[in-house]
Amino acid sequence: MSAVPRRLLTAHFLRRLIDDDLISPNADRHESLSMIGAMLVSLGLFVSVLASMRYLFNPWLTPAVASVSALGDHFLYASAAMTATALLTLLVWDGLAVDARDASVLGAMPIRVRTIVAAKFSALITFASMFAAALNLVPSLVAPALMVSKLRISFFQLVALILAQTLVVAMSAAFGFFAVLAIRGLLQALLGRTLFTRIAAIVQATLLVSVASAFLLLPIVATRVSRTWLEPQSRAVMMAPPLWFVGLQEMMTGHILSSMPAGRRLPPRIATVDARAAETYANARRLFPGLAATAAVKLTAVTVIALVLFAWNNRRMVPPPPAAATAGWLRRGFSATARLLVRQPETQASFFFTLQALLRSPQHRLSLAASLAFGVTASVFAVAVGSATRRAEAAAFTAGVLAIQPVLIGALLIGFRHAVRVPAELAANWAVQVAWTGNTRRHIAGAKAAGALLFVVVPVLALAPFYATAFTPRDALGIALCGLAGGLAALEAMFLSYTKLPFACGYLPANLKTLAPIGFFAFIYFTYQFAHGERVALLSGTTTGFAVRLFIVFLVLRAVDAFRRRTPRPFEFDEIPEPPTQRLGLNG
Amino acid sequence: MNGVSRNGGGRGLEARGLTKRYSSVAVVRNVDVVVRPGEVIGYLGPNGSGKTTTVRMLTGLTEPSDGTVLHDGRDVYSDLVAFRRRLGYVPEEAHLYPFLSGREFLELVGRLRELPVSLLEKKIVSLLELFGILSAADQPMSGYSKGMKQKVLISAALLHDPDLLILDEPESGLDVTAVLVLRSLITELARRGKAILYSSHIMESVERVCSRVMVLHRGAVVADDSTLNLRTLMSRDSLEDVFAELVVQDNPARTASDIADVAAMRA
Repeated sequence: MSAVPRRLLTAHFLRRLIDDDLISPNADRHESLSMIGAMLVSLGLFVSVLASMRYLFNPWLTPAVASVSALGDHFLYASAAMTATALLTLLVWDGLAVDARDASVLGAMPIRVRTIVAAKFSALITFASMFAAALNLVPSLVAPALMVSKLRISFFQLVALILAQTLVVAMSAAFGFFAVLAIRGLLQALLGRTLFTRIAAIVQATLLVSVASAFLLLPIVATRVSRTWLEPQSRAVMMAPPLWFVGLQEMMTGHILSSMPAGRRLPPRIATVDARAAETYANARRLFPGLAATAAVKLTAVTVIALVLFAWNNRRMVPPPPAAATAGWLRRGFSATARLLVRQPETQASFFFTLQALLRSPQHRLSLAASLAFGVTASVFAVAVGSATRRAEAAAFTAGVLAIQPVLIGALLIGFRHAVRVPAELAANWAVQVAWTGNTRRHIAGAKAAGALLFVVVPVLALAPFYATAFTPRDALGIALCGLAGGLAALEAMFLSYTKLPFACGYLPANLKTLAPIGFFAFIYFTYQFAHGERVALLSGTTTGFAVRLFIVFLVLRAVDAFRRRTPRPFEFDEIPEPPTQRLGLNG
Repeated sequence: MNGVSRNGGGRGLEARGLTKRYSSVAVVRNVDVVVRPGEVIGYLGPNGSGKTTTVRMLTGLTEPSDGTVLHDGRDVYSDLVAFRRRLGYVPEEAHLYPFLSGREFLELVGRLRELPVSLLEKKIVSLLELFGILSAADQPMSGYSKGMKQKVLISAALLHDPDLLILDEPESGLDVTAVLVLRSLITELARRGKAILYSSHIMESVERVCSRVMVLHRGAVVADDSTLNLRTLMSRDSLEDVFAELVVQDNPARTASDIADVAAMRA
């Protein structure tokens, strides 16, 4: 196998993974990569400094206490490396194999298939390694140093801690990467190319939502590791892959802290805490050899499976299977029903196009999967907080459970608001531009109707059985009405300032605005206020009144929107984004 | 269909002094285009001569740096939407939404053009059937061949029975039968009073379907006359020879020989 074509092809595939699959082909690669890199490094630094606070500001930190606390931190770093790398791999799902374009362009060249496959694999490995390094390098250097900064530890022991953490997060990241590759490869090998092509998008979206939810729940989960998960009778211990790598890390360097004497006389209360920590660690320690062995075996297994399946599935450069047609009865039935609800042709055009783009375009599905993951995580968080703060009222309506619906709908609507700004296919925008009648209001109304169907009506219907089980069917109906009216009002409010043509304008990359944290807290505040209002209405039996008030808010917002858009305004489809220098205020 | 254009008595398309500059470099200079109802104007030029830029200016997709575009005497840029209601356009590149089926794309275009649903459905089925792609109507266009995409584009341009058709390389990717159908279609549409601008680099097509030909070279019009007059004036047997005389400055045989020499180079 010649090294030159393989190197060139690796560079080509790597560029394509970054340009086509990770960032928009129309975006500035250097700017986007700088932003992503800076974000990952800052995130790693922030998390490691934040997690180190309990070591830095504990005046009575003992090696035993540090050992137990470190278990949670090691879990956090290992699972963050694993889930973040798995998420990245899922984001470039379509680029995880030699695709149709590769087959058509490279298939005609005098290059062996195995050279192309090897180059593709090298590019994938390089891509994942770059990402994992950007995310994990700083925590691997900083976190062990900060953790032991108040303990008497030699330089070589510190180096050992740093090397162990670097190795373990690298192995965790590799596990996340190869696990996704193996799942994809296994499905393709079992189902065949045609069937796999049909279900690939659904699998990708499901995995994205699951992994993103797991990633977002990490901070909550990490605090429970030493208390509940690493007990000998715990069921979770062998089922959570990050724990295997925690075991491995403890096998490598756990003895450094656990065998270290306290080194000074401790006050009785602190001595008790120290003794309890030493006991907890000693109990957990019995699990580490098994966990470490599991980590080594399963990482090796998943790597081998992924490699073999990658080679097997890409053994031939074959053209893509023919695309599946939409079922005629389904299309006609839905189309006829929707036309009864959406009457005006241009609104219908936008309504159907919004549904088609959201459900079929890869980048829009990704936006929605991310917002759904955020919604699921925030819902879990809401229940956790709600059950913790309102335990005394467990029999009544808890705000945490009621918050699930507004949190989920709110998160989905935010994702929807972002998705409509992204062009469905930049090069095909001409079709809408040429045929568009100039009525922005009707066009946006169609998009909003599709959004209301997908992100208000569907979640309300999906949650109704849960609320009927948790409370009563009558209460569930009240909650559904409130969710429906509240969701519609939120949708109208979100689109009041929207002036573009959905899916058909040049993409303006979103800026990381300083207002984003405020927006996040506003989201939490409003959804909780909504849940609180709903709870009061349910307890006082005024649910219908609450829903009617929300519906009136929706109608008012709709009237305001109609008033604002009463006259068509000049419209710029391809508004050019400000250059980075201008956004950074460097233009003088 | 009664066979008569709604705009049979209109003045068609008139562009005067069209110029497009990018960073002070003029890619189209002072081009005049006049297409009357019932006329098919061929718009010829080598690669990079400015054909597509002119076409995009005529459709309102690219704003000219200078010059005016009038349709039936009205400035199209003063009311682009009204102009586009009467325009059918086939772009040079078949860029379509890959996740839509051919039928869904035509439904999108037809609904945006506010066609009644029953009429739209009837037209879509008939057009797709006549172009021979009805069996693939519900498949995503990501799996379509270039020719199938081109047929969808032509159908989209005809859906609303436009008065003015601007076709940029419409034969691209079409098979022989479809090309023959397209040529007859253009002739028939012109007979029904449509104004048609036919941009192409396929001499044979232009010679067969166009009543008048404009030749663009390096952004400027170098010839504008009927094919017969051009052949007579330049004492050439075919439009291809006229074109070669006007815009081909190097000897094609010599260039071909040079290319073969480069290909045969050894280290």
